[in-house]
Amino acid sequence: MNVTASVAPWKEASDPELVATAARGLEGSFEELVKRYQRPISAYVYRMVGDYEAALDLTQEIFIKVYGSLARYRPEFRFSTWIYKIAHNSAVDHLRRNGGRERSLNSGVEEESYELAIESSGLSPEQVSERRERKLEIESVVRSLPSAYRELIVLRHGQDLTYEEIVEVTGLPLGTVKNRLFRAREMMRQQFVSRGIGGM
Amino acid sequence: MSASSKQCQKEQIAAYLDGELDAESMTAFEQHLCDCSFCGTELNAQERLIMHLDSALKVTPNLPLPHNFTRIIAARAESDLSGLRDRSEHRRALRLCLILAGASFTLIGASAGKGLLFSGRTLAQKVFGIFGLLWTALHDTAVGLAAIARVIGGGLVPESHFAGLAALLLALAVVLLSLLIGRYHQHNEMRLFE
Repeated sequence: MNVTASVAPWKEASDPELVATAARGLEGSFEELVKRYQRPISAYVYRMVGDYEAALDLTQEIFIKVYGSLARYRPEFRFSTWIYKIAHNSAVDHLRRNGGRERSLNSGVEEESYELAIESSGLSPEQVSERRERKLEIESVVRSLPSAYRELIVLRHGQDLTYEEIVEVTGLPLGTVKNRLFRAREMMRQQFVSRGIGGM
Repeated sequence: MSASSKQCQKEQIAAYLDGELDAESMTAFEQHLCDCSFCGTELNAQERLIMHLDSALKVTPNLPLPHNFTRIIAARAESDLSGLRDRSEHRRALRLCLILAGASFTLIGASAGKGLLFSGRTLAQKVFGIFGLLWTALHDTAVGLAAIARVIGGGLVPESHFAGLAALLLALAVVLLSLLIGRYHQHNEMRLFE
């Protein structure tokens, strides 16, 4: 079977269909799942751990775990929530293992950051530059949050999960999710004020 | 800040903006919002922040993924079969292996004929011989030790009706003595730390 023929049929398939076929070992179905989720998962992990190499290693590890657990996936849950749960646990484990090296603004470590795609249609070069600056500042402030708060901000605003989905991913009670999200935003507001960034 | 601000919950404002309030709570909150200038100001501030966070963070960082990353991950995952299959599949695989092993032994046996049977019998005889030798050595050692113990015991303990009781009292005395010695040393150590 050639590669194109093996992958193309899966493009129209839903996530649960892909999981079912991948669990049966059908060629190309798991690769399609990886293709769909590799970018959001690597971005989520990168925002959580703040280290490019570690994010790539963890992304691989997460997909290997996903493949190993396909038989245990229950279709009543959204696949995206399930994979974020695995990603979340892996990222938290990584942060625990490397607790002393967790990044913060006060550490003085020069942080790596990757270019963000910015829609520039109809914007002047100055506006594009200003937006890029703003996005980088926000990413930087997110990285400075303690991981317990950062994860909720990333899941809510980066991955667009609802409170209920965040509860499923993190295993935290709903009240804690609400409270921490609110407090995380408050911390961020204070950071913006102390950095002299207006309009927040 | 209005008088009602003490009753205001900023978390409620965040949940409202995130669309996480149920219909009843939302109506109540919106009514409250009409009367509370504090919540109105807070709502605007939080809304602005959420808008900025959404627009900045919903853009996926353009992480440069290695060439063929998808293929590499899929290949690595598919080659690591541990944990993929459930228990029933493992059992089926084991049954299949056993059937295959049985079939291959049968085929080898049929093709090798008497020669194989003969060599198998010789091997079994040798294994039994080694086990027999080990068993004899162990048995003889045990018999020897029992004889020595009987001789020593007969010499030390006088043969009387109270011999068992005396042995028991002796054992009890030894245990009590060791306990007393232990307590004495412990007491001395505590005094040293005082």
